[in-house]
Amino acid sequence: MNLALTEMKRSKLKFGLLIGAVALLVFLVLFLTTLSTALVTSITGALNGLDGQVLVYSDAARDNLQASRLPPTVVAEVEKVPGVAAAGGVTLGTVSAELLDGSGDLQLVGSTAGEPGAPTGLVAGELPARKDEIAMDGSGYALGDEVTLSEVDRALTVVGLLKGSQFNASPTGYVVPAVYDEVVRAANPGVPFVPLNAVAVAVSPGADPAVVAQQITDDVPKVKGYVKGDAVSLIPGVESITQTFGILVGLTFVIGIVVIGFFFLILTVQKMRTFTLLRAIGASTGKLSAAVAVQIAVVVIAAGILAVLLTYGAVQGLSTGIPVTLSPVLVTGTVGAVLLFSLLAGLLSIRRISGIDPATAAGAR
Amino acid sequence: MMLALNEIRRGRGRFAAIIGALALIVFLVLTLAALGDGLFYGSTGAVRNTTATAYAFNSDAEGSLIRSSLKETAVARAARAPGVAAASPVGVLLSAGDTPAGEQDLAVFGIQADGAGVPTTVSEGRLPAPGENDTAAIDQSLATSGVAVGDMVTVGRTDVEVVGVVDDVSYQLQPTVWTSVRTWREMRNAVRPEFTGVTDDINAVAIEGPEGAAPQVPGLTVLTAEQTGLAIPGVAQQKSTLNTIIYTALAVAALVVALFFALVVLEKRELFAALKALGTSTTRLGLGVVLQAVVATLIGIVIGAVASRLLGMVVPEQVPTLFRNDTLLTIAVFTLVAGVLGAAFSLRRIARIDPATAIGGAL
Repeated sequence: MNLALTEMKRSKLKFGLLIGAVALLVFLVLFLTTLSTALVTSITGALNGLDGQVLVYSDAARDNLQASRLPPTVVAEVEKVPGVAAAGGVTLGTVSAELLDGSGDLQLVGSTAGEPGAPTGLVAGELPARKDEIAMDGSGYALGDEVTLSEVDRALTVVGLLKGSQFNASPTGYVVPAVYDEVVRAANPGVPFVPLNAVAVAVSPGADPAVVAQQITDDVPKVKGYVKGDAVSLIPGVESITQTFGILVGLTFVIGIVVIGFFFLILTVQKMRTFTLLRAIGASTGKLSAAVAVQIAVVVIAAGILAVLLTYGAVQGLSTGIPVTLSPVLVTGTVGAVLLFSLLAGLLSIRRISGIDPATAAGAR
Repeated sequence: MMLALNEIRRGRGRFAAIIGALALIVFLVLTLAALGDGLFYGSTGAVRNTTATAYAFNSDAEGSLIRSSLKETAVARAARAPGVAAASPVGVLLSAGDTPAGEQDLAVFGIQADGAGVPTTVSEGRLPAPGENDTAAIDQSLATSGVAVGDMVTVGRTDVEVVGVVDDVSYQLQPTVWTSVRTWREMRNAVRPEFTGVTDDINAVAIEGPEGAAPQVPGLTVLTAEQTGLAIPGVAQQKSTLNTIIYTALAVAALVVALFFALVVLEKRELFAALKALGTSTTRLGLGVVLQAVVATLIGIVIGAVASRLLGMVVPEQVPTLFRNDTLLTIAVFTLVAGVLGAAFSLRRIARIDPATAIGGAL
């Protein structure tokens, strides 16, 4: 133990550089994973977070929520299907709005609090219950702020804040169905009815969502039922985006820890002559292994702390337009994996020491 | 010089590990860049690779081709605006269609074949001729999935015959189908019953004019082709996220490579002291260190670049990748400079080494 710490104290520059390099790699893994997760969540969050296990689209929509148009009467038909505990209509569209950060696109979702289809990511306040209320995810809103919908030129008060509930990586607002209907009618005067985009379904306790989805497809004309996870993966382009970011995160994670492992491997191998000398004067392989392990643990833990601080700072300074938060599970998992892999790399080279004849320290090669 | 190369030859295992670490870093940055470019270019090809330099939308559409809705009369208005060389209608429909390769998500573009907004990257066959309906050119990604010239593609109840293939024109990561405005409207009205009977609407006006300029058209919002790409829902956020990721990876890679070489050189202080005691000059030692850094970095770059290309060949079809030579060059230069700088960082310490330490003094 003393040996390891004494060396670190005497070679401050070397260990400082090592901690810096490892911290940068851990930072890269944490930062990339955090950003990627945030982007994918902000594209699919609205659908993923809807209350309910099954979604129903029109069969002509060919698996695309935004192309789906259903008459409001279909909710009652879906509710009659065996295995359906409750059903609620969901409307979704892109509208223009005056947002805190200027005029822009707002994804507007119409659903009823307490029914299937309502969002589940509420972090503050409550879901809207009246026509002058909205719950927001994105654009930095606080409770009591106002959002003006350009189509109807009316301000709605923010009564709830949501997390992980965005759609299309855009600011997303949740309103009661009547507000959504009003916006659609303002843009398209004379429409006979405002179609639903989907019906969200809560299945009865013990019922299999896949079976209920199929039952709905069979029983209700001109609709198709999906288990929610399937509906999310069928959003156009989502498969490409999730796979791209999956590869990106996976590669960074694996390469990050392998490169850190290489660092320790090279540094331990470079000290082989010193280790051999120490063995010649009586140090056991176990003691040397413990010294290497202590140094690696100290470096990785110090680098981990530095990397978390760096990532936290970088996340605060981001301007990518999507909500990003650092997950404690990710931090623990990454630092843990790096520590494990680094110990393995360091100890691998220690194994070579045990095979070396201490006599070589006295001059033999 | 010989000393540096001899050390590489004698310490193959250690240098292999150094080169391995460098190659992995280069591979990571190149692959991240290829994935990021693939995603961005796959989302915006349909507005990047046409003759249009700008698009005009209705003022509430926020530059979205899908949300914008105009009467066809807007085309004449745009054509009269100063700085507009040509203006043509554009219709867009995101739907699904039946193809010989099965059902596919599609983006159907209705265009005027002899007007603005026509794809410029035809790789096989031709575009629909002026005035020709019920024919279409398809995106290369659709051709890759098995649809060929002469095949039929059906959207709604309308069949079109494929007459050509166009490269890099996908839209929101969906393959595109380029047909006449009339055929597009037939397909759209069949898929979206609320448009039944509508015969004079379009989504936007494609404009040809000076590159990078957005001419003023009264009553309409005009965006350049590049701005139109960034206005596709989610694309600006994706691009911004991916750019942050790539620049961070590049900066981290450069710093890690520099720190790495600084560390490796520091570890050899004892050896350098002995060499100095034998009369080797600091300059010679410094040159040797830099040469080793250059050799290791160059080999690392080559291996990393090859590995990255190989990965590009095996990633699933749904994951778009684009390997650009300018990206490779930037990353190679960054890595090389970082490696040399990192090695040079330790030169000052080499210069300060007292040769006497080689014969017993503490370092």
